[in-house]
Amino acid sequence: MLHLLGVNLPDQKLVQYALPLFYGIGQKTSLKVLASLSIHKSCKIADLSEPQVNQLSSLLSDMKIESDLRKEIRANIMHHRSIGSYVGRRHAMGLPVRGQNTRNNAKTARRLNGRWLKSEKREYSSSTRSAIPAPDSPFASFFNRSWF
Amino acid sequence: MASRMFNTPLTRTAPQTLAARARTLLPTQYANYVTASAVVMAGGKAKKASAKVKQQSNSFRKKKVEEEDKGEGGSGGAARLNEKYYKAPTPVKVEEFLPSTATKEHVGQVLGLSSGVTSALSQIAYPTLLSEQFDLIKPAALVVREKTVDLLEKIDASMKTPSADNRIVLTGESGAGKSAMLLQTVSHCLNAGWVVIYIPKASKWMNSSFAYNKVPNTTNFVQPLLASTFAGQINSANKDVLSKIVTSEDITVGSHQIEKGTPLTQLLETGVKYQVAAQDVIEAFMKELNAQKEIPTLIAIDEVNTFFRPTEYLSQDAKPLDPEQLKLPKLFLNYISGKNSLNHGAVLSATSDSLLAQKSEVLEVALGVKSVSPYKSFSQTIAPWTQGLTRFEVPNYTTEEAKGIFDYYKKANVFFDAASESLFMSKFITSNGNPRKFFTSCAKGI
Repeated sequence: MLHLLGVNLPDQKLVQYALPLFYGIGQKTSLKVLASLSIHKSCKIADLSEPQVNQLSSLLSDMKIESDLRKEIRANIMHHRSIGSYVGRRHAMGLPVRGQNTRNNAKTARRLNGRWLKSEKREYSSSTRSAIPAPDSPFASFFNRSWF
Repeated sequence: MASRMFNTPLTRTAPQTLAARARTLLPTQYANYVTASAVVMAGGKAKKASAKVKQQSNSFRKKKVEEEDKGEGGSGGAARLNEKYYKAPTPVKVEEFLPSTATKEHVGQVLGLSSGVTSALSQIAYPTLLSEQFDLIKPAALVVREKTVDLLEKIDASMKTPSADNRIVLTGESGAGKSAMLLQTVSHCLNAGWVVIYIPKASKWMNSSFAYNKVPNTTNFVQPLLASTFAGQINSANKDVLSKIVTSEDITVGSHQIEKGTPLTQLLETGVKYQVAAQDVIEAFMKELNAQKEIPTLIAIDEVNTFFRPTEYLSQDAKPLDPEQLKLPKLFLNYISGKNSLNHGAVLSATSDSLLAQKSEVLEVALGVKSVSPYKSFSQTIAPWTQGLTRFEVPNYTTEEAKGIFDYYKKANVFFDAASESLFMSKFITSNGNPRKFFTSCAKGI
């Protein structure tokens, strides 16, 4: 088991299919990495020599992967939120961002959108969840009404 | 009263009938009664279980195990299969295929590869589908065909001429016998005392299965492990002949010095030992073969279509490499195309249709196998290598050859029906004489 930049790469896996285990590397970038290091496609993690592993780790540390990439994505979405744009509001509400219909079929957006903001909030908010909805949440105007 | 006392039995149990006594003695097996069909099913399950194990361990044997499952019974590697259900293959007595037996009189006879040849080729695997057949029917034997005799006459005639004039490519439909004919030529030349360089699976050179390193300051790449294993294969195939040829000058391979006068076996052993120097060793070896004029050389390459198409390797820009950018394939591409030439010898190649994705349109057009629109443009890097190749068409079996192989299959217990003229004709016609289809029709009874 090769431990590289926070990810465990199993020894018997082909390098070509082990590299996409990194967040930010897919099939295409994996092949590009192999090509630049002259690693043949049927090379397994266990077959990599020490200098090759060092070359691989230095090449990967130059690429934007894992936590760096996650920070960038979160920062992009937080930017929309902080300037109060439509895109930001849709991310916060967990609804489709790019103008899709919501009468039917918005399941993926409802499931996945907004997770970048939730984790952001979790990081900066206090340990106990507040029962009062935060002022900028979508239901603030409903819950904070003094009349019903 | 006394009589009653004497009449009462000593045991308390009531007198039983014979049947009742038998029932108590034997355990009731009604639930576990084993029928004949259950025994057969258990045998089938054992077969399947053993077959599954084999499939997991070695995927290319899957085909063979399925063939045996179809109920031939008699043939198969008994070492791997359950001896309860499979008989060991009966080795058929065949005469040896020697240069003296490669004549028109022997056409239709099935002759076995001589022991010298099989030991020489022990480190070199046979082509895939042929090796499956040889595992099935022992010993390894091939039928002498009319075209084999023609080919061997051509090769014998090339003994004193440079290899650039004798570059032959075997073509034919799938299963026609190209690899088999190449193997017969290899066997013939080994027996005749030539130096034989046999590459049974050229696709392995190009399919990114060996490590490759860039040569600094060039666009070429070298495959050290491949070169090293290849040097070992040449050495094992031609040990006797090569121990008699000595180097004509001092050679430097990497950091190793080879003195003038060392036998070529020692040169190749350096290549086997030191991977880094293996490529230079093979290049020096080919030069030394050219330096002497007594012993001719045969370069036999199977799956040669992989030499004329982009490889699976990638350059540093992630573009597929051409075979000429890999040093070892380029060395042999020079000999196939006539750019380099051996003083005495021939370059014999065979295309392969078993790898459909690896067909080379450039080669097929150059040989005249396929015709395309004249406006179609071909890769300018690959097309120049295909000039000057002679095409040798390998046809299907003639009736005489097919009859010879039919008798051989009968002796080898490939099929158990009575060997009659009508059975032969039905199999010959349905398979159209194609050797591979003829074999499957005999083996599977289709």
